[in-house]
Amino acid sequence: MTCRVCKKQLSAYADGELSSPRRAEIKAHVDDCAACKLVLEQQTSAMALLSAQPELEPSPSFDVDFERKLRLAQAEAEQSKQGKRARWRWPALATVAAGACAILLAVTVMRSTVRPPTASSPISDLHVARNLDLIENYQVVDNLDGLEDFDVITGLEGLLEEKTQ
Amino acid sequence: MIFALQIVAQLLGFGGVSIFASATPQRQNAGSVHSGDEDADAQLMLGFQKGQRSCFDQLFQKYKRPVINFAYRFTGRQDRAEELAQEIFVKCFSAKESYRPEAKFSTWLFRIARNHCLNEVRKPEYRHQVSEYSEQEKVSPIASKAVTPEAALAARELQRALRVALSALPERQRTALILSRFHHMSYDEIAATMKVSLSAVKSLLNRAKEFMVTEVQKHGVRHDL
Repeated sequence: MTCRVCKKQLSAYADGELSSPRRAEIKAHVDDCAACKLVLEQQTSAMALLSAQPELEPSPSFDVDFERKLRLAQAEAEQSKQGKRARWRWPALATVAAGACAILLAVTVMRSTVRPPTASSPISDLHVARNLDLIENYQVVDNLDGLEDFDVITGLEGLLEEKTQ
Repeated sequence: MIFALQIVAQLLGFGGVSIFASATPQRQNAGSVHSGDEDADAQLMLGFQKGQRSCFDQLFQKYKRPVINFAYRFTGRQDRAEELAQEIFVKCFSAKESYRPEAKFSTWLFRIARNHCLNEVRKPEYRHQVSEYSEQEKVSPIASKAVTPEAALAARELQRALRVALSALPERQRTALILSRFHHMSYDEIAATMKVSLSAVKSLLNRAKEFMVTEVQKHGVRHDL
């Protein structure tokens, strides 16, 4: 075994984390190698000193302070839950309102685009062609100024009948 | 080569430290929780999941000291250790549903503790913490055993050097070392807590120990005592 391999295993060896055969190999090497033995001793001593570091004891108020923190955290969690609910409620309402507006707008647009046949449509052109005379006379009526020619208007139907005969 | 730690320790008459210290780890430190209790812990946690608050209280009483000390070692802040521990227990309380009985309770608890402390030490105020908070630390057993003022001073220097070295360790190495030395976890338990492989734990601990030896020698352990 080389020193490089041994040094990599020294920590696990010192902590009793090696299998028996491996442990025996390391032990054999350490017993014969002054350099690896020194490294092991240094590590072991440093770890023993580290383990002798002081421990803290919980203060008398530790439990009470914990309970206070816990209640605070629970209250915050509850508030956050409610806040989340509220945050979801408003966007949902806004979405419904926006949807309703969109539907209303669409209906309005559709209605405005569906118009009765105009004068330019083939059906109305045919209708005008068939009743050209009648329309011309209506145009006359339409151009009358007030009721000056009321007699003509009243006799208009008779005149039309004569004309058609 | 003179090994400074050994000289200081021998001068202090600290019996637990010797140049020929046993390679077998010493696992009698206070604040640890033995793995034999894990079944009982899991049962308590399951009881808590079913709504029995008293089960949580038992776990809290059992683990509060180890968690306070974990936070202290990890952050190097004695003044924050209790607050951090309380926050960790609040997290455990709130995250009770995430516990699975297949895992050891201590593994689950210390994973939460580690993540919480990791977030803590990432705060800017932790950049120069070691020199700032060194004055208020607790006196170690080594210092209290010192018989002369010089020995007491040397012990305080050693204590500070160890704390500085621990704080200076990269986070993963520090976690592995704390769990190993102060909480007496096996390599398997450390691997489960840190969610790394067993070989990674071996490597982390080996590097951590090498670093500790080097850093302790660097940080004010006096050779002339």
